[in-house]
Amino acid sequence: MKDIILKVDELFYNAGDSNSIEIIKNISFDVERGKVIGIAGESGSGKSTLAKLLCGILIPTSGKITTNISRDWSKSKPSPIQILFQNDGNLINPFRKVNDVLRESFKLKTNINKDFSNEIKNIFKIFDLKEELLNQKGSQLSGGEQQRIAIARIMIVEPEILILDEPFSSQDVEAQLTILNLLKKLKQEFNFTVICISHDLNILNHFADDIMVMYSGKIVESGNALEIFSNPKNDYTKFLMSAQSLKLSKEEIKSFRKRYEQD
Amino acid sequence: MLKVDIKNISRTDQDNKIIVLRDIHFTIDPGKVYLILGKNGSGKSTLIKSLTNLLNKNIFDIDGSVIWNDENILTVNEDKLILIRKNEIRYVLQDLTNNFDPLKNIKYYFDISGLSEEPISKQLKELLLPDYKTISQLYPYEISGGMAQRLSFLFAILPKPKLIILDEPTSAIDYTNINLIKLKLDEHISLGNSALIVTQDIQFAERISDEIAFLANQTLTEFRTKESFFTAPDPSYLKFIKTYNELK
Repeated sequence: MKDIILKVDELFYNAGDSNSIEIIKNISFDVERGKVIGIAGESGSGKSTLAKLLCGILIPTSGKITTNISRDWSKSKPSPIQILFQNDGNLINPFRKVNDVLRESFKLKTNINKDFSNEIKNIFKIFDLKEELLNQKGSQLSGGEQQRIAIARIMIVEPEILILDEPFSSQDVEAQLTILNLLKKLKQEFNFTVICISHDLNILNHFADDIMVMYSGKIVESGNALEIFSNPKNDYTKFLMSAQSLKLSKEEIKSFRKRYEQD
Repeated sequence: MLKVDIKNISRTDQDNKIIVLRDIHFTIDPGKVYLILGKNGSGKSTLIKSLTNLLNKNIFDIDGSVIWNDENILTVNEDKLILIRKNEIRYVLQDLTNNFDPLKNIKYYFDISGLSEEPISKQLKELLLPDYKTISQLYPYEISGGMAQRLSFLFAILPKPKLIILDEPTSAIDYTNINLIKLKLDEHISLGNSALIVTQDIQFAERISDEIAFLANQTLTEFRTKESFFTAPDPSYLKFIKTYNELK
């Protein structure tokens, strides 16, 4: 039998003044422990909303999210499900030192108030970070450094499920590869389950075991990543792949938009 | 059309003068898409802002010339400079939603373009944006990143500028919207206008450009045709291309 860590049943989420705008429309799926699930889709398809529902920041209008967490988290302040938000340049508090940011994570995790300098050094080693960074403030870090510190802060908590919202966007290819390799290494070291949102199908192809393609609040295709990449069945998935090659004509874009908006 | 000869651009920080870019020399001819590739923080945005003197004069100092229609943009008077920026060289910068005044609705921008409803409606339709009446009433916080990108692009090309400069046009939007912008840009270029794009997105560069240069170590390589840029890469960007191929 499959070891399911996260189960989503008939999830709906409405927003707006009178809960009138349906953002998530009847989504159900299971996530197997230890897998990397990629969620692809255009902006506005509901990817980030789904991520926020999964980690409990938003409350579903209806439907159920069940988790099967293996360790005892009852005494822990942080949640076993952690999210890395999109990097808008403010991932790390601009006024706080990296050392304090990481120390807080250890404090929350253990409920012990000490300086954790050995533990922080150890984390720095795993992340291949330069020691000078410890005394720098959030505002002094580059985008890539901020992102690595933000992932480190999460890893200290040793989450069982890690949700990544566009971890590769707004970065050059070298920075993308660094993050990708880091995540793969951490995955081996800490053995967690990953849900990774990205509009970049190429990157998901290098990272995800399974893919879900979202359009307008629904999942239009899901399954094994290799299969979907080599032989997409859904027309929208095909459309998304050809969009990435930047070879679509205006008519193609229009006709796809129309078709899916009528559904 | 545009001839850039910049010896250096320096920045003064707490009495320290630091050279940010040096030896930038290139020419832009009509009817072509020029693209500058470079990593995060390599100075791409600084370079394009220097071309129409948009850099903060209290901090930046430019030693060189940018010749546009036989005149040096860096030394023309303020009135002339405003006209060039308004009608001839137009930008789409990054951080789009913040480029709009939050207290003014989109109608304000349609009005200052000086155009009637009809030509604007036509463009809105081609970029698959809501119709004139609907979008006019919206405030910047009510539009999505993808919409903001297409709208900024539309405002940039409405006066039919000879040169359009785009800063990371693909960073905040999905591929469907990038396709739409590419189609519109193709049309604008086919009329004999040119584009200068800075980006870190190699895939986009490969699809859209005629000529590419790489910005690294504070300077710019010469522009080369797309084919020769990728098939015979310069050592300064070899690793960048290799990483891209690995991730493709």
